[in-house]
Amino acid sequence: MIQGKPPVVVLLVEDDLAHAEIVRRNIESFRMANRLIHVEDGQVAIDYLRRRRRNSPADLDDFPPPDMVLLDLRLPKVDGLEVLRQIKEDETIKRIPVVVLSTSSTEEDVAKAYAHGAFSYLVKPMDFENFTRLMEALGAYWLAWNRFPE
Amino acid sequence: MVPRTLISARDGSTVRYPPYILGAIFLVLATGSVAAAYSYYGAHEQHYRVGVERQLLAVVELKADELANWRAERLGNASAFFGNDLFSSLVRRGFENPRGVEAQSQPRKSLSQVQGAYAPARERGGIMVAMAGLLVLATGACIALIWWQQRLYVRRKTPEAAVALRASESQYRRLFETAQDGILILDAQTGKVMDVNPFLTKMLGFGREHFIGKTTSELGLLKDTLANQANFAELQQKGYIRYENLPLKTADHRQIDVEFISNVYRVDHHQVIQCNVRDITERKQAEKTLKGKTEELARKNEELARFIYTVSHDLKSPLVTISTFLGYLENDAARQDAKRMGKDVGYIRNAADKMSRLLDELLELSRVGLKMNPSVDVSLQTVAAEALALVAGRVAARGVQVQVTQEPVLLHGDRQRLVEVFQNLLDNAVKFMGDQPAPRIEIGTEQVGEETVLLVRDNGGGIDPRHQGRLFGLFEKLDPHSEGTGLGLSMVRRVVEVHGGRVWVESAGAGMGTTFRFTLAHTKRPAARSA
Repeated sequence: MIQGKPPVVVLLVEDDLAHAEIVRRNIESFRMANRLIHVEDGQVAIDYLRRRRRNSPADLDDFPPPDMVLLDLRLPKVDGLEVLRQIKEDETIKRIPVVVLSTSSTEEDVAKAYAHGAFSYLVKPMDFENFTRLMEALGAYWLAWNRFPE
Repeated sequence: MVPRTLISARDGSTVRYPPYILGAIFLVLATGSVAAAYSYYGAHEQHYRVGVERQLLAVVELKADELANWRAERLGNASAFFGNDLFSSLVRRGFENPRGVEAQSQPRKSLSQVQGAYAPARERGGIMVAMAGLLVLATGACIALIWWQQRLYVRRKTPEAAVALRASESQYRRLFETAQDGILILDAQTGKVMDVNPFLTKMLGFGREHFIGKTTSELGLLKDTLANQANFAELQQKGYIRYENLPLKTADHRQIDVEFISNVYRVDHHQVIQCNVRDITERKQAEKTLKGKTEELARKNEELARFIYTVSHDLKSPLVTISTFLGYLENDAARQDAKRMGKDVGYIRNAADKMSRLLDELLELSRVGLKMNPSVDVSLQTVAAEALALVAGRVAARGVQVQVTQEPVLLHGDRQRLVEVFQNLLDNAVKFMGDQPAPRIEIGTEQVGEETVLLVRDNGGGIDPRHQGRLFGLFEKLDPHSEGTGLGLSMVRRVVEVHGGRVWVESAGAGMGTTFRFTLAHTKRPAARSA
């Protein structure tokens, strides 16, 4: 799937370990990323992203800048919308595309996520088939078709 | 006959004269004046005529020789006495030619002439007197007629008008006396109270004499209203002023809310302000209660919406896990990958367990407030001891030292629920003790003003102040790996709120320990006075 692209880093923010496992398996099977970093709460996610500011070479190894953030909304400590807001307010990380991956399908959550600058909003499908197809499509769209400015 | 009111005294009493006396007086005066005029004229005419006739007759009947013997001066005197040139010339001619025919006949002619002239004059005089009399009588008659008409009119009108007036007066008086609103009548010039109705005296608890003759500012009533010039001007201009919500002080220093309407209007020749005062304390109270209830309902609704959102989300999560891993399980079974199958089943089981636990705890949470055991008085120490017994295993395993205050505090409520509050807080404290080498939990109380605050304090991991706000929310877990569903503190808050209290958390931050404080209605400290 990855055709001549530089190493791709995905940051997964997800407190449900089972869901994180599903995402991990899909990313692996569709080779969507060279590296998947999984954090379990919003505060850790923000801390991770902010650490890049220091920009020391060692940091860049330990905390490689993600190319995409897969974000759940209901998270411990700092919820997903707040993580999104903080990412979009921070000049150094605001260009990282954030894809919301949530069980919630309420209008309010969708609207708020886009208002806070989400790149896309995906509702976690309720069955294996659809979850797999969703992840495949996301990989194809995002890695093969979509273009961001360099 | 209804006596006519002639003079109305200020005090309302009247002086009355019967009209026939007035009529009689008029008639006597009229007749008297006519009679006087007539007799005066008659006397004058008589006197004049008699005098003239006597002299003329005397002249005519004088014999020539008698005349010859008269002394000139006597004649002269007579002439001078009457001052009548005609007679003087007649006399003179008689003297000059006493025997002359002309001298003899001339006086007779003159006499008849004079008499002829007098007769119409006498008639004219009589007519004039009669006319004067008629004029006086006619004037009198006119006055009498007008008066009669007036009296007829008054007689016709007065009885029904008086009856109607009396009826309307008593009707309005009754309205004033029995009105279920306070009414105050003020003189618009002086601002002084002219009248006050019984309802207002009762409402404010002052006697009538407290009001009469005083201004509103003297009374301390309506200080900011009528006494205020601008308001008074508005009242004068618009004719009325209305205040929705005016606090008034009563005799026993209670404050009541009134609706206040004042009108200004004219009575006879001075302006009067009528103030209607309605006690709306009860209405205000009801409005306040209703507002409170509405707000409470709105809050409850919002809470319910949040609850449903959270529940649906948190129940959907394990379902996503179960159905997806069932897919993986099928694939792995097809590939005979036993290791992966074991993992898949593990995820499915965990999700099913989590869901079952969530449902149980949700059910429990929904029961708080719905199903309550009867409220009892129970000491803090008893409740704490029962809660400690329930978490004794974990407390011992972590080596936590628990200290319970010995101060006598009496709690009131559902004993089992109160135990649950302490159980959850103790459980929480033990769970998040962190790496504290000497873990300690304290159950105590604080007195804040009138309120007794209960507290559970630990020296464990603490909570970042940034995350304290979400702590009591449904399914909120600060540590995703910790055991439990995130309903424990929701449960604590629910029980505390059902018991008329509130709960909050204080922690300086990570590693600084945590203190949960809460209040409960009806908490008593039997020996608090000594403290």
